[in-house]
Amino acid sequence: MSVPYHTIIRQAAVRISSIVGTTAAALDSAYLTSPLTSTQVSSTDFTLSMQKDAVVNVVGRIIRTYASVPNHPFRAYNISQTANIAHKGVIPSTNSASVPIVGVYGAVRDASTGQELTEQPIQIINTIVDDTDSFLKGEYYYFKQVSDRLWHTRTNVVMDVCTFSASNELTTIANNGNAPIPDACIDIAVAGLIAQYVIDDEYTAQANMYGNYFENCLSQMASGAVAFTPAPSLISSQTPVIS
Amino acid sequence: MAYSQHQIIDRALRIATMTGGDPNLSSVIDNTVVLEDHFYTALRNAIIAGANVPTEVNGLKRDHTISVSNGVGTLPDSVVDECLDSSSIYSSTDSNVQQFSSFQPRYADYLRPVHGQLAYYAVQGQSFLYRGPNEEAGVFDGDIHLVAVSTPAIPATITDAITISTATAERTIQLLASILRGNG
Repeated sequence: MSVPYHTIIRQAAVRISSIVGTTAAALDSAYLTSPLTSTQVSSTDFTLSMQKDAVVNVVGRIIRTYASVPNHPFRAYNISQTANIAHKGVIPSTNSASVPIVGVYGAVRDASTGQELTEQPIQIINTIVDDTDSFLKGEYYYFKQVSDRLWHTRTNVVMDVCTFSASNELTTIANNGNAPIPDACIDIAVAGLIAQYVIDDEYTAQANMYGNYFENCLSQMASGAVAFTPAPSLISSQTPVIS
Repeated sequence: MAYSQHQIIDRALRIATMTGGDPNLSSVIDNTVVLEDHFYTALRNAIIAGANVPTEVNGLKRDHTISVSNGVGTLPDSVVDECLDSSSIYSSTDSNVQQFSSFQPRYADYLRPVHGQLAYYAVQGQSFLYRGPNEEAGVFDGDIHLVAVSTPAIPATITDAITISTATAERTIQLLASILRGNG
């Protein structure tokens, strides 16, 4: 199951009355229309483009949160690999598709075999790499990150990394695509989006309520949580029926 | 059973890491490279230990052909010096070599043999020395076969089999594991 962006946007839109329509039938029709356009979802306070930017911001915060937790199961939704990194090479800031890396680094693996490397002191790595008398015959899979460079004992390695690109996500929304987050995060995403909708003194009460829920969930996520209590009002579900 | 260096190292690592505690907390869990560093030492010590077992010692001996010129040849690196007292020599062309030879561990005694009618061989540094019966040192020319406890050839590829007995392999594994746990 995946989480369509338009599901998040329109469920939040309900809370700020930005579903377009003057009758119940028109509202229902607009609510169910996919892909969304400003004909169905928009208001003078929050246009659809603003809502799209806001949902990308919220999804970005969610991904950055769990991407910063080593071995967090949700990282699987955003994992990819860097380009090859040679011994003493600079760790790139993007993956091999030039998407920016977020969160902590994952496994360091041999670029050819996929074998994981383990961490060893740089001095040990140097003795293995030097091996001037060719004494060592074994295959050694060691690495050490030193600042922004990677010392290792292989020809090339790749790093598993989480990535996030706001511009890529806006393109995904335009293509009626899915948010790269697990189902367990849909309530959090909707709540986070509602929390962003504040104009002067409008919507502040619900923004605070959803904002508290959103920040509390991110805090739990940062501690490794993978399941969360439902949002303050259950307009969404962790197993959404709306798609 | 054929054993490769890789197999021996892997077993030693498991023994050293998993015996008596949580391997996740073992301080030696990621030390394969150290086992390779110690491999030859452990193998050699395992062979020396085996050489003290009467039923094993002959199986640990290998035949080396040494070209001797003016009574001096080069001792092969693989010969285990500590076990030369159990060695023997022979020649396919000179029967005196086999019939009358005796290893002389002391170089001075080799130079001044008690019984001149015997052949003697000795080792000095990496030199193999031989003098025939009733012959001065530094005279003999020819090939001599030295049958001595030796380390086997270590294949260039770590996964290739090494020619050793099961007893030697098992002893090497135990020694490597002990070394890794700081008991070597």
